[in-house]
Amino acid sequence: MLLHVENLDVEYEKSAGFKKILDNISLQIGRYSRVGIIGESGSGKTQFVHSILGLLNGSPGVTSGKIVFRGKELLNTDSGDEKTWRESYVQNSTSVRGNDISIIFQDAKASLIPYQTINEQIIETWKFLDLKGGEKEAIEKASTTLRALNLNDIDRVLKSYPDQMSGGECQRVYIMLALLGDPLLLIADEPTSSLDDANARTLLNHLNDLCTNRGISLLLISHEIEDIIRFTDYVYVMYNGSIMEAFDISDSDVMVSTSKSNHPYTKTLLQVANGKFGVMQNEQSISSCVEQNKDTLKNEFKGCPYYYYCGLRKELSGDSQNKCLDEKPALHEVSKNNKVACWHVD
Amino acid sequence: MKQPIKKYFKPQNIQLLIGISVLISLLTANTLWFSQHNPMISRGPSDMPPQIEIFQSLLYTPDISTYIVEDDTWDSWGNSGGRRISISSDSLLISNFPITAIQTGSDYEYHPRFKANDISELELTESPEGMTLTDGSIQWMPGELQIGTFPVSLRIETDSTTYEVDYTLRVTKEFYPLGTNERGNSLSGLLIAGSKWTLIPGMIAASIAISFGLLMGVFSNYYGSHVASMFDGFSDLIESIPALIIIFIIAVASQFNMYLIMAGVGLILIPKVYAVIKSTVNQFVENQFVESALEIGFEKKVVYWREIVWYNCKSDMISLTTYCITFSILIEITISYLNLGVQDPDISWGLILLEGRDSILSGEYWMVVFPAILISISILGLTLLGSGAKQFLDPKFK
Amino acid sequence: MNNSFQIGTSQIMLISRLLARFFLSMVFFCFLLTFIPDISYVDTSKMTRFLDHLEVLILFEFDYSIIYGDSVWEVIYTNGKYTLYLIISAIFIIIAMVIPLSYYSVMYNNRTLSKWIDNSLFAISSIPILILSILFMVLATEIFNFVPIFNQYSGEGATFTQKALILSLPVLSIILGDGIFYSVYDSAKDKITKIKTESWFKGILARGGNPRRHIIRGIVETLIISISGKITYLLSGIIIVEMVFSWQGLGMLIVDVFKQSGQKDYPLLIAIVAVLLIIIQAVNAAKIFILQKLNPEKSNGLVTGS
Repeated sequence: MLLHVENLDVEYEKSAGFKKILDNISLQIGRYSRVGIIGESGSGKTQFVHSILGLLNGSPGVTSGKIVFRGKELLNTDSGDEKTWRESYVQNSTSVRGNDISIIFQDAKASLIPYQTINEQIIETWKFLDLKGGEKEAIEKASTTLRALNLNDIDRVLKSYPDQMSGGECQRVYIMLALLGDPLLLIADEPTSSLDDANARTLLNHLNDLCTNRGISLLLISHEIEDIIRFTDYVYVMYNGSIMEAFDISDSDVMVSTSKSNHPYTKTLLQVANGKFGVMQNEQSISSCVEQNKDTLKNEFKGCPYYYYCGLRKELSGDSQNKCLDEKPALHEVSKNNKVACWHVD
Repeated sequence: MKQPIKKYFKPQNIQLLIGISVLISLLTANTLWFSQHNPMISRGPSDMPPQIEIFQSLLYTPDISTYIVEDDTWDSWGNSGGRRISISSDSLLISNFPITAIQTGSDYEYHPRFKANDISELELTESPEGMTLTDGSIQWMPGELQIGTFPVSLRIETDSTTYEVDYTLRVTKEFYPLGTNERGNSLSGLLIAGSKWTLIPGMIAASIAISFGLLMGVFSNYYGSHVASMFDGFSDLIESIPALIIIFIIAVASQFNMYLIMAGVGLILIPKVYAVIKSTVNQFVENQFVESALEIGFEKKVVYWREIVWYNCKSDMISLTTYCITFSILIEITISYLNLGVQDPDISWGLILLEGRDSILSGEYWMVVFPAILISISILGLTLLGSGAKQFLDPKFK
Repeated sequence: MNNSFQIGTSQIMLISRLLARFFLSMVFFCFLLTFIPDISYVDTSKMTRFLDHLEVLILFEFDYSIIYGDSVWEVIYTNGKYTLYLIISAIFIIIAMVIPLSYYSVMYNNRTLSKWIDNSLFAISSIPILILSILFMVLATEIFNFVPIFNQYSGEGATFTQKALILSLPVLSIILGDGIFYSVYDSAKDKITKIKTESWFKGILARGGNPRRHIIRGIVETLIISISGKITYLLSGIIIVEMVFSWQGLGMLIVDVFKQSGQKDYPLLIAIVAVLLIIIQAVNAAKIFILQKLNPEKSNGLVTGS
């Protein structure tokens, strides 16, 4: 098991108290595997992957949980008092960055240093990671990776500033920088959201091939179902800070089958992908995370996060609905390789 | 219950509180001066140290002569003779200095503490009437008619030598809390009189600077790039020469007419007001105006524009006004200190500093330290008022 | 290749703009001079007088100074170097102190020490330069029994530490007074906070890098802009400080010229102001070049990508 996250909680302090951003997140990724996380903006996927690398900005941040990477604990809130585990969290997560786990971001052009040429950024990253070899080896390795990502005109790109490159070129450069240290896990946080469709598909193809060739596991975050289906084997569905469903899609043609037991939210997402409901439903689905009914955001709300928009719940009797309102469902196995967090799906 | 009270302790409220209290004290000083001109500056003895005791004991070393007396003889009239060899007062003898300036009717007490411990006898050989030495402590209450300078002489006998300590005690009829200057004017009166150069000249400068700067800032946005670059050039020109040099020219050209100088300060402040207003208006124009511009006709545009500009610039107004006032206070003290501003016999805080400049060397610190503290507090208070009011009124911070 | 110092057309345009500013300011100054009442100009019109002053500047007729008798440039040289000491030390100390203080204050901002530094700097910042320098003078005289005036600096027998002490007081007053240091420090802190929110900053962290070099680069960029914006203000402060500490620099010369009754020494005055303006424009030029070096992407060719 490459990366193992258990019961991760993240909270941020707001003026009215603490708001829970992530509630009891658990996730596993093995070697050479492809895992996806799907969810809308605001569901907490970015916060989650940032917390693996210790990049959270808010306070207090991680409040409980366990993260283990290749047997080494990056975070363990049970090991000692708060000061101790926070210190070791900072230390361990800083040491894995770039070397063992890398992350690429949505807007690659903004994530590159604007006042340095790509050449300089490669050399600087090479020095950060303390890699063997001098500048020549660094540029060679970088060029190899860029060729594998199908970047044309490498010489021009090496001498340019980020402002002078296209979005696709920037993303390829950023991927190359992330892979300089030969990490075993690459986290891709919506890498193609800023690119146009044709570019996006090619980029993901090349990235996938590269990861296969180098034996890198990929954790892909997206809100495009098609990409998730195509490039991942196992999917976690997140909604409003909790995992709603976790299932295997390596062997199923999910676009056809709707009889599979899925969480009602996953069903909505798949239906949207299938185009069955058109634009209106899509909009409602997208806005639902952001314009939540305020009650679900309060810490006192102990029910299912999807309560207010759940289609399944609206068809149930009053007593069953109360169960959704009062108690938050836990993930339970519905079938092999399929876990759902809903009271009414078996 | 804790939360509601905590809400009122926001930093801007504290700033506002301090600022308003400083403003009120300045206004009070100004009104005091304008309502009763001369009685504030009474004539008294010159170079008196502050009569508030704690100010005298800090930092001020009175004139004390210490002698070793040899061959002490007494002549037939009861005067003591003998050779006196003067020694420095902090060499062997006294570790605390006496207060040397008091008012009639006040309780005077001085308990000298000696560094040597073999004191056998203490005697007051010369003292004003009514002064007693009991238990090693000199005590006196000067009567109503006992005004002036009184020499005090203390003879100290140790086992080995005889010492004598002389100092002069000055008694005044009126109370001079902060001391007096060379001409005998009470410093507290001078400070109150000098306060007239703080607010009113500041308002003159502020009104010129803000009226022109506001118009320029607003028009530069409304009329487009040519007008804007003209105003930019104009404000660049004024900012390019160090402000003091322009002020010197105005001071010399107008023969130290403070009101013209303040007008000049207003001119110098125009670029700063212009910059602030321009950036505020720019921000709002980008945000709000572009959408509505297409829909509304010409007259409505002007009306909306005026209202929205006023709403956004309101918070800047107060902070700009206080900035202008503090700037003019600064300029006033600087040029008065260089004798290029307020002239004799008029008084201002800068002039007090100038007068105090030479007294420092003789240890008379009060002419410098008190105006300095007062000026700093005024400027700090006005600045806090400006920043607190700005945060209070700024629509963005609400 | 791209970072090397190039004189391209844009640089020539910028330099010519600075020169134009310099001449315009001098013309403006000569215009202002015509308002000073002077017995030797009673009968001439303003225009003649204005042209007279301009002539001195353009034809470089700086011959002899009226008060000092020496050639104008000698007077300026003798005094100018002391003013330069003040300016250079002031700029140097600002840079040397702001970088560590602002870095420490923002990166470790939950330590109480940084809050104390902030609050004490804010409190000092409202004290005007004049008051601060007088207070330093008083403190030195009363507590250290030492009068830090100029004569002791340039006289014989002053050791290096004594000279450093005498130099440091005026420099400290210039820097701390009137909130110059505090506003530079504040803008440096704002810049650091802004950098911390940038995406590329997170990118550096995510790649396992140490962002310290980039933060310091950001601080230097803000410092240069801030200092060059305040240089005019600093020069006013230098005039004040030179008067308080009896420092024989250009500021004292200016005040002497203005206080002089009778015919004023116009060549000297014009020359001094010209020197001051050259200093201002030189600082602006330095700012432009340093910014170009720090932000090479802004002066390069067209943006090619989408």
